[in-house]
Amino acid sequence: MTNRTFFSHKPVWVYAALLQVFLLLGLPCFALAGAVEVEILKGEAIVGEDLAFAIKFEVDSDDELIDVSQVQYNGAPIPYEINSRSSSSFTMIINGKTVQSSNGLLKNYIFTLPGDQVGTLEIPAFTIAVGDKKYKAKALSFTVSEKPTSDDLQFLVQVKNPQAYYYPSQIIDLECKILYRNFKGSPAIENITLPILKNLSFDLLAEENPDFELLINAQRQLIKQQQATEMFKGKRYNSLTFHLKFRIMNHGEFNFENSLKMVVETGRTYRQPSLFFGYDVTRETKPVFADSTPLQIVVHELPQENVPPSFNGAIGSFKIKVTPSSDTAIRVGDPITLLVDISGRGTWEFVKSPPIDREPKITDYFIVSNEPVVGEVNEDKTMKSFSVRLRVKSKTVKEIPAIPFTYFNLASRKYVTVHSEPIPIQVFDATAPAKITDFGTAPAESQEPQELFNPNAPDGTTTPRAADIYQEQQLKPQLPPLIQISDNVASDETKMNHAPVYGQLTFALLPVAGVFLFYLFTLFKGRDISAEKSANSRAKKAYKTFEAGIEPLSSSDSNLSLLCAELGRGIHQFLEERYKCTLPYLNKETLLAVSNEKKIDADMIEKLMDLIEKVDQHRYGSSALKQEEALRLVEEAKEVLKKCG
Amino acid sequence: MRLTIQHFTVLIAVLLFIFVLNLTSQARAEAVDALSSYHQGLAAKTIGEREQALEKALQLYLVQYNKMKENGKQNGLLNYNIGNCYFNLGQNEEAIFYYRLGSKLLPKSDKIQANLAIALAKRKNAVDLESNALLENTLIFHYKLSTNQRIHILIFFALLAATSIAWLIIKPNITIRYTAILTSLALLCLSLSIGLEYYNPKHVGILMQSADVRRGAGSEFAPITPRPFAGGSSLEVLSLMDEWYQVRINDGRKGFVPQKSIKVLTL
Repeated sequence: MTNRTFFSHKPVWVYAALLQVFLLLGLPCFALAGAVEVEILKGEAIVGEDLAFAIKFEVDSDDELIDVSQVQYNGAPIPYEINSRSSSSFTMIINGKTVQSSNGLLKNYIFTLPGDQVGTLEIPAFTIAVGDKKYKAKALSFTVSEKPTSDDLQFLVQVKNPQAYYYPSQIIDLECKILYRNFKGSPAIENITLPILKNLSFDLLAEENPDFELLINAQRQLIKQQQATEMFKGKRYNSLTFHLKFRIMNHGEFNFENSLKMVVETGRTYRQPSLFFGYDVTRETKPVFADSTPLQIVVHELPQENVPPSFNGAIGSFKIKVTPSSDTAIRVGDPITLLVDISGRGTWEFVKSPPIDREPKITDYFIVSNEPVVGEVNEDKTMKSFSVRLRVKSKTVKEIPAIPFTYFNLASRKYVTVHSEPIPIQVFDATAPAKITDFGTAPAESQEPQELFNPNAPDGTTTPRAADIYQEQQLKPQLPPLIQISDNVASDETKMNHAPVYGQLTFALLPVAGVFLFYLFTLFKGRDISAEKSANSRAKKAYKTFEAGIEPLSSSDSNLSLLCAELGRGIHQFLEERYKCTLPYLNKETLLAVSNEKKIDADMIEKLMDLIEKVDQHRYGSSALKQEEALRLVEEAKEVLKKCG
Repeated sequence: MRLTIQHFTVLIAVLLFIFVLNLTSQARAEAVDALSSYHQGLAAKTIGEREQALEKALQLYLVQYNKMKENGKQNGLLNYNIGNCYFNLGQNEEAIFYYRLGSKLLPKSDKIQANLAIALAKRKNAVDLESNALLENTLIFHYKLSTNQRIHILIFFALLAATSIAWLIIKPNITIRYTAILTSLALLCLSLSIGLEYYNPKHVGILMQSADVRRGAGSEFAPITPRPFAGGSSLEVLSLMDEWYQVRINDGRKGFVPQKSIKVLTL
């Protein structure tokens, strides 16, 4: 037999002490856990994908300083994003005012790490500071596995007709080919990563890529597609080919590693509970990756030697044509607008207006407007036009000299300069009246001027020469004609306010409100509120009350003395309500007193007194009442009171 | 002579009169100046003179426009004058914008409609918002009348409805009953029309230059149409996001246009 002493219970005490210690130490730990928490969001990834973890803080306010600079990998802080939200908040309306209240703020610091190497990636233990407090976290471990690849999936990306190097503005045609075979079901492309699409040095030509959509870089892009079968390394594959055409916009050496992620079925199926009833059969899928060989594009800068001063970035093959779009007969200081048309083939983004302000033979004689010149490309994309404005400095100027335009020719890999035709102009003195002439060629017959005899002319005068007549005819201004439109209106008409004045709607409310008031008026106008009317109304009401009180008793086999008592009480109440008075006792004196005031008919008083006496007889008398008599009495009372009403 | 309160009152009244007279005469002088500058521009013999005069007229009109706008006022014919200046300066897109503003305020103005039609015809390959002709012809009062006109008609119908209802209360009559019903219905329709416009206005953007409508709010996003929309085209504007307007094109697709290339008017 075991001797159970006090100490035999020791383990229980030990457990109790341990529990106490746990509660004392553990509760703050729980509280701490609530304040800062580290959660691994993505602990396993395939090489190339990102790993992620989050540190969650519960702070009192947004002002609290949080220091996560000690969260490092390979000695460098890990980049993060912050998401914050109120931990618990509520809104209530007090006295018409909206009051918002919240308890603390949850801040999520989401750290992402590129999983660029296969293996285990470890972040050493780190310390986080929240205000004055410091928290320690254990080391975090992540796993990066190799990309699952398969010979059955191939991704080929190559430049069609590649060159050793390119110059900006050249177009490259990227041919992308997805080859796949032996996959069960219908494999789905989850994403195609083409870094070239995100590189701003390459401009995707939208018009070259219509009609089909694929997921590229996680956003849909329009591309051409062509599906067929194709032999590759001795095996037949299904092939999906698409082309992407880019224009090179910058120089540099570009390396792109392209990859494809396809989701294929493994052939296995599993059941999972349906949202409503039963089970859904789901086909198991797995990702398969395919990397293409790295793509290298070398883009050289344009040659820096022997660059003509008139070069302004144009690459391709162009011609220049300059035409005056305003009058060519001007005064000193007047503007003259030139339309500079650059036509040819090339990248229009690179074609800018010829640098006229850098051309001494123009700047010596003209002031070039410093307004920004914006060109406009025509619909066919074969010509870009610029409008340039000059002001002539001197009246000795006879022409606008030829304007040079230099472009870099990709075929010859040289700079080529072309010139426009010079434009003759006529310049007058600024102070002279505007005598405007045109440089148009005179008609052939006026080439040899002849003096004509005018018989009507005064003696000693001759008619003007044919050339003079021609010149006079041409003295009209050579402005571009204005399209005829209706004329401007006078100032008086532009002062009125045409903006909507919603305040005027109150004028619509006034008549409506008026009618409503009128309706209310008529509603109460016909109402009879005389003393007689109200007395009648009271009588009806009192009779109804009386009837309602007496009816249940008279229709049942209840105590007849009770019926009489109720009948007496009912008549009393009726008379009080009917005549709006207080009757301490129900006898002839009190009724007569009321009748003087309320003008009760004497005959009616007699009838009432008869009725009251009969009721009192049965109520207080010794004679027993039969059922038939009682009912008759009730009917009589009803009849009298009805007449009274 | 003793100065009394009456003397001060008269003095203040005279000063106020002179001040108001001065203001109005100044405003009139500006307006007259704008019109004469405009005519001067039309009659100019050189491009420089024409542009200078038209720009001067435009500046004066715009000053008046801004003053009115500050006071919460608008004038359809002032917008028309501004549109004319822009049109003759060759800025067709701006002209269309101001003509449309004027047309919104004065939809029945023949002058505005005529010049707007000329400006619209001058565009090349521009696309306009498609409208539902059946709806527009059915709800004429909503589509073809200005808000002010609708407000005035609503007041008239309110008066008519109130009168007929009052009559109906005094002396019921079948003709008056139908009049009351019809006028009340008209009142309801007009109230809905004005309320709809006030609480759910439609924003239309006029492209000031040719622009691509892109998938996202940034130039790195691909255009949703093979060709850019020409200047002067109109698009339905939905919202503004980071200096890009979200717009809807006629086939219902949504896209983004840079804020700088579009001017928005509220219909």
